[in-house]
Amino acid sequence: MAESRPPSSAEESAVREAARWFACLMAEDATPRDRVDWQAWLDASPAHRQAWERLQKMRCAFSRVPANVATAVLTPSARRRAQRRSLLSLMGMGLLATGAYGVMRSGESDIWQTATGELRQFQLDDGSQLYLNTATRVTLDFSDARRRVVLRAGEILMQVHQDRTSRAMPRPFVVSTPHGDILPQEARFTVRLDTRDTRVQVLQQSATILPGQTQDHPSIRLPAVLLRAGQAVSFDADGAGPVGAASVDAQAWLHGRLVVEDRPLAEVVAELARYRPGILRCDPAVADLKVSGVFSLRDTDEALEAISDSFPVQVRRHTRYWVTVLARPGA
Amino acid sequence: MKKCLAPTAHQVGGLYREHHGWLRNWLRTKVRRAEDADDLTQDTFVRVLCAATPLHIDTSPLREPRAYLATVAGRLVANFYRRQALEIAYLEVLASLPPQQVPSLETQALVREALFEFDRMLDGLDPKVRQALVLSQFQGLPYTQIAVNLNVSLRTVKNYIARAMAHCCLAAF
Repeated sequence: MAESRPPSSAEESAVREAARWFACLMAEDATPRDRVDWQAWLDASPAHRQAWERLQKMRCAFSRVPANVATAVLTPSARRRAQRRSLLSLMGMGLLATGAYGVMRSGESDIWQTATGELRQFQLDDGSQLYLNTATRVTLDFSDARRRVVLRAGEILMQVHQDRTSRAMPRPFVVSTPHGDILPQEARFTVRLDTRDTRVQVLQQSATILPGQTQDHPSIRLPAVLLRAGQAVSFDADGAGPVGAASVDAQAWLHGRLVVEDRPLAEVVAELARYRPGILRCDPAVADLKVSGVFSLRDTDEALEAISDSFPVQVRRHTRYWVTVLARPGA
Repeated sequence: MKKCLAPTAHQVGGLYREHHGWLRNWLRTKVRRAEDADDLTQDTFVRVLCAATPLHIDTSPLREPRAYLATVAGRLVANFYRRQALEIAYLEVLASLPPQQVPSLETQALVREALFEFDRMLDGLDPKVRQALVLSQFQGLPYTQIAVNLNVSLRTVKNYIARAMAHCCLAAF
């Protein structure tokens, strides 16, 4: 790869242009027109073509390293952790000291929860991170054999890291719901428990879904589903549905936002209702109205206001805890 | 590989005789294993010997030879830890794989070298730019998702990718 000759300024600017084209064509919103323009740029000079080939060679080199390795090793945060660990061990302190939360010593379990509209982040003592969305309840059950998070209600986002506590064998990580088990590879994923099913969206790495397999019914064997980054599936105790694409806003709630594109108003209102106490309902007359936008989950009143500003609906407040979205008169 | 400058060899020889022991002791306070300290001591003198600009130790003696050596050695120590952190991070990934997925030793060596190379290329990039590149090029995430992950706009993601790709290609020259 190395040529031990610094690039000339012409070469440098050709590479920068090539990189801009590359970034443009990679985008989901790249148009056929962009491709035509790029082709014209490419044909305009051999230097352009050379720069483009450099870029392709680089991509080819990237492909030699598996995604999970690159993420774990080249991502700044992952590296900082490894560096910290290497320094600590060099100072003779062994592995990272355990426990921001002392509740998870082996065998013990604990319940963590959030109120309606609340969002909380927890650092587990194995290094994993757990985010609880609104009205969520989980039980943590960490033993010598495994790390288990049981989702009892609501929605979580998990960032699982390899077991950091000093043990001979890293313990497997399991997220359980009444509908089955989820076995992540150091993944980042969301799990949402509804009355009828559980929905999992994998954002990074992968996770295996075992429908029907729970602590209470370990003998049931249904086909497992492997979810990769960008994939999602809903499942219940009788099996999994088809694997689909994870929503691009799967973790927008982490930032207090609800991102919707072309969704029925009833669905959006139901989603907002999860984040506010009391009753928030949508009048059937406007239920199918298509809504797009980014709304605040931290302030659902503001979100409702935004909806009534942009769409032909009004918000009627019977009391503070009983709110209806209905058609605007004359609209 | 840069060419070593032979004329300075005997000058470095003097430097070596006089400060070798001191440098090795200094390095032993920086890294835990004595062998690593010894290796780094050698590397430091090799680096000094191969320095692109000839040293004028005889004509205009280094005013602070130990400060100079410590600067060169300090850089090597930083590199040493960097490589070690990368190595550990990679070993952790390997340890987390099911046995049938662990690559052969040969593949491991290739991947390790590629990682060192990428790490060197990515050096100096803003952490978010670096992350955007990893998410896009290694994980294959769409821009929309990278934008959410990094909490930036789509336009910014596009700029990050352009910057990172140009940076890598230029670093590979």
